[in-house]
Amino acid sequence: MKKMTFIAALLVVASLAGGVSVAHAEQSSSSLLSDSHLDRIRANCGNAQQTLNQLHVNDARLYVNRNQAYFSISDKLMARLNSRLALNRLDGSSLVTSAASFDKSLNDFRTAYRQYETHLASILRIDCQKQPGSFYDAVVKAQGLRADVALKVQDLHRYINEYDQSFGAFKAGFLAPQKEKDTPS
Amino acid sequence: MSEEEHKATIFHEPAGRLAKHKFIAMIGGSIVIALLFVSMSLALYGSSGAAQLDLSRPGYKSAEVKKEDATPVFEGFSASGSVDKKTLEEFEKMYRERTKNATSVDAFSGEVLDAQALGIAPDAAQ
Repeated sequence: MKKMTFIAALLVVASLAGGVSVAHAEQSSSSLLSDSHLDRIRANCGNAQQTLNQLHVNDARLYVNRNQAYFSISDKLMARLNSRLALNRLDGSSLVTSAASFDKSLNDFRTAYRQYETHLASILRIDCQKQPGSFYDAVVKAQGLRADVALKVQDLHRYINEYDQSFGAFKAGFLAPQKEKDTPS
Repeated sequence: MSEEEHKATIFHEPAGRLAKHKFIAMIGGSIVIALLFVSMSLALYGSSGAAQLDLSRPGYKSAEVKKEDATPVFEGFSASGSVDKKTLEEFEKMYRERTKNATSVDAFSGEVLDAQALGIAPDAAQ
């Protein structure tokens, strides 16, 4: 019985502490923003949330298509060429390195998007009339997370070009002896 | 009550009680196990990234319809066979086509989330 009472008391204290920290966060965020700014957020946040909702849906479609396109490049082109070169006992080590970097970057892109999407979904649940400060902070944080996703996309494009260059070098090296053979001495 | 009767009461009563509630215990147990598995599945669905790829979620129907108009299935480059000039050129052509489509879109640009565009920017920025 004593144990149960202790656990119940612990839960009450934990919930109170959580409530206090949330209230404190809201207060500290709101105190940094001017009253006119908070009023503007309250006035426009309905439209902003509609825009964010539409963005959330469009981003989901974009992510599914991008993810599919990048995965297809990795799985149906890079991995298959690397495998074919290995089966023919040809040295494609630079291609394997570029493909591995691309795969790692693809995983980073997925992680970054998951964080961004989860955060964007949480913004749509904020009551912006009651918590304009939290809403504004969440939008600013979302900008950073979206920029991170864009950075990962740029990384992917960089590795696509790197693989292309490695392939060009491999092709030139592979065809050079054949050209020598074809050229009459 | 004889000693044997007393033993029978001691040993058979709990078993009899359990037998009475066996069906309810089974239903309750099944519900608890089902809830446990559903919770585990939902946790995995959220943490694995499958949720972000699922356009059949509520609110994503419009995105799903437009996705159906996507490009046809891409077979890819064959992983087996010899390597010669022709196969390398075939790969090069395939790679350039696919990567051109993938890199042409400026995905996830920051302007859409700009506070000014959303009408929630601070006074000086307005």
